[in-house]
Amino acid sequence: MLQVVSLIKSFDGKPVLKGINLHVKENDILAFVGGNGAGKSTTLNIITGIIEEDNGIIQINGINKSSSVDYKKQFFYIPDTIQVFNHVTARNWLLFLMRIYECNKIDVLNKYIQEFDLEHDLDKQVGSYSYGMLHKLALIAAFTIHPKIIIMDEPMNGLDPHAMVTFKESLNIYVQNGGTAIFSTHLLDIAEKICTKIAILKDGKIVLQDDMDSATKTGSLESIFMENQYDEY
Amino acid sequence: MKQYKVLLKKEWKQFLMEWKIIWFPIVFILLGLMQPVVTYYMPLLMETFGGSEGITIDPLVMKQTSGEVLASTIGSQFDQLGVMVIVISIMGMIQMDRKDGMLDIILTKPVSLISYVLSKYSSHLLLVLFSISVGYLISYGYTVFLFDPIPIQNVLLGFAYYSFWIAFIVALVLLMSAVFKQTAILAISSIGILFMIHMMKGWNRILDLLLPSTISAEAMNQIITGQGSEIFIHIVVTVLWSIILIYLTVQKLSIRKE
Repeated sequence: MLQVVSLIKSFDGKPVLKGINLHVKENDILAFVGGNGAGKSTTLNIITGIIEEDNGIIQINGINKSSSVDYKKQFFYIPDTIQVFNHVTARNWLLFLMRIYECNKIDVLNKYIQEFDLEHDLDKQVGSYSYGMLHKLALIAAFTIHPKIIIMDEPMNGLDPHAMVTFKESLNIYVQNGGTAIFSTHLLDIAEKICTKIAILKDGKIVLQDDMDSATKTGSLESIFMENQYDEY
Repeated sequence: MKQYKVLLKKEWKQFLMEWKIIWFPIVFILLGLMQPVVTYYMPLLMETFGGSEGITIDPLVMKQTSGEVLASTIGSQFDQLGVMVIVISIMGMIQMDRKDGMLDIILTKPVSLISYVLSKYSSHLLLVLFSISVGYLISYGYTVFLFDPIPIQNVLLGFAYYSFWIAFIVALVLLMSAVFKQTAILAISSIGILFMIHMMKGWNRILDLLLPSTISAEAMNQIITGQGSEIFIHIVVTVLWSIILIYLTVQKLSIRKE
């Protein structure tokens, strides 16, 4: 589904990604974890085309990374900071995204709007939305559009407990229906519960990539993460 | 094409939300109104508000024809204050999206860069042309009312030629909007280039053939005399310039962050 081979990136001569290799299969939920500045967001921004890589191969669903509409149709990206047109209502923003992805599943859209408890705020301008509400809005769009892969940068930030539960349930349904997800997070306990794969990033390199069950056989994800991040741990 | 239509629709919704579709034509109505009214009432205005002492209006100076008055609406109002209004009102078309990160988000969606740029260009061009045409129509109405009728063919052809100059202006601001992030630099450079191009008109015949602003002068000639010279060449040159600017905008935006 998602293939990243020998991804290299430097900023001002300083290497940030030093040969990332990622392999995410269909129906996987991959937790992409690492300390601050490890290169998680840079990797996701490169996969989604926001940043250009220095070297490496990126493929989603067999399509090589490019600025083509075909490549971009394969994924839905939810960045950490969600930008929206301020003067647009949430309803119009969702409809705009649906049209862009040529998706007309209005029933599904309404179902997710209800599940994420946004129906009463739908006619408010998105400029007035809180950080968490914007994340809910993006998740509603992603699950409705149902692309091949959903790529998320810290998707659980700002979500209230109800939205968190809905997020987990919706993610499971999405994956059961052929979807694939990859997200960066610092919430290791939740990642351990909902993800099937784990990739730990340290200083621009992947230090561990495995099935979640196999990686956490000897201890919790938190302890595995600490072992891989800090030598003295 | 579908994505282009969706983006175009989004731009028009944005114009409605920002009331641009209302106030933009109003500005051009006022500009269009000003030329015939001020020209007609100038002697009365000078008399009423004073300041005419010592000024003698030469009776031998020919009274302006209605064609000249309407042409002055283009030359004196639209091409000066109007151009500044256009630049300041539309200069954020790409710059705002770049500044707040919206461009990055849009371009991670299944949207081609060409669709994005063309939707920005065509929506803003339509808005500007619509606003100018309303102002021009009002100016024409007042000119006919206060002065004499003008052959409708001259009026329509004059406006058609002028539209090409407007298409160039919007294309230039589009490129500047993709190049500069700072509002002040963007405004000053756009207005500066446009006035420079305008000033260079008439320096040399070959230069005139290459300048997009010559079409604006030809539009005025058409309104006054009913004739234009080498109009086809000027149209082709102006369209080519606009295409080059749009192409450069796409190229500029295709260079992603390093």
